[in-house]
Amino acid sequence: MSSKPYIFRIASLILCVSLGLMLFRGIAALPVTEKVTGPASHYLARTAGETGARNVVGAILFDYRAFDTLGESTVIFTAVCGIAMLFSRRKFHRSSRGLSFIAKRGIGIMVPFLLMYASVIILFGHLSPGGGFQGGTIFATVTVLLCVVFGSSFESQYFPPRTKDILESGGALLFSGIGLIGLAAGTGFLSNIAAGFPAGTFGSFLSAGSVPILNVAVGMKVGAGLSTIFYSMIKMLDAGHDHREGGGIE
Amino acid sequence: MSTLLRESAAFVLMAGGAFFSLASVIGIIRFPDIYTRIHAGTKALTGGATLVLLGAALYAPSWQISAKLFLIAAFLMATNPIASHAISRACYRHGMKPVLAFIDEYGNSEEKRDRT
Repeated sequence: MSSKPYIFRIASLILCVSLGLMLFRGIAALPVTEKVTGPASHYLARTAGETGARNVVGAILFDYRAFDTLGESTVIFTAVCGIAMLFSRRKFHRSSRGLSFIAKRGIGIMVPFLLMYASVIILFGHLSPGGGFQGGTIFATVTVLLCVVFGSSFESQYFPPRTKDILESGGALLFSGIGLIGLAAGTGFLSNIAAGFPAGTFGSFLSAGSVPILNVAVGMKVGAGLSTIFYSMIKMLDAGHDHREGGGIE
Repeated sequence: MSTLLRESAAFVLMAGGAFFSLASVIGIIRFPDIYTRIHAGTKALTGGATLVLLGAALYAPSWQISAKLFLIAAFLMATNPIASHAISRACYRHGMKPVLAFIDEYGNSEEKRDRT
């Protein structure tokens, strides 16, 4: 602590204070308006009628701008392909040691709740905040936790890489297939209510046409993709790292 | 009257949580090695966040929100000690000795297990 020069600390204090002041002034300068303008007013007024989804953000992501979302999830798909290709030559050393008993039991109790939470976030994506991207990330977190706490052989026994591949490709196919239904109905790629998907009653679980299906597709894709990225990257950690005794965090 | 009592209890709990968070920050800065720092860091969560959440649960307008806050508090209480335990155990296994410690019962028990 005292080895650092005194002037260093003064300088960092001044930097922090001025940065904070600038941020607060930026917040204060934001315009406070009572009504929304532009496309936002259109979305707020017509989302319920045009898509049947209560979550406006989800409706924009998976209905109005669904093509954009297809591109976004393709970006993840491409990243997963690239990373898996980079590390494909590495031989993966499976470890079954894991962490201590306390961590194993604790995570064993938490994992069912985490899975339920992820499913709820995906399946209720058209009603409440959340959706495929967020829920898929939580699914990937579960596999990462299992991999770290129980060892990678346990994780690959329950979620083999082959299953992840099938899930990810299945998500992409499901998304594109839903889009092609709209094309076949003659209303355009990825169109929702206009292509004949039932709108359901507003606010109920089965509503909003294709939005829940697209949520599930994106959730499959993101969950399997991020999990594959983690799985490929721990190969790199393992390569230059011999198993010293009692290492315990592999 | 009962509203006043409830709200003042909520504020007392939240102030206690803020105190725990402050003490935790001071501990993280002042303590000498990683184990004592982890010990201080867990207080921010098990003491600070849990008390703030309990206060918010008392202050909440409906019981549904209170139930959610209780669930969040329970989740934090369940996971944070496990994470801290895993971190400190990994640190010990990688050879970081505690500073200013005279009795090392964990290391002794490990040695005993290795010998037998």
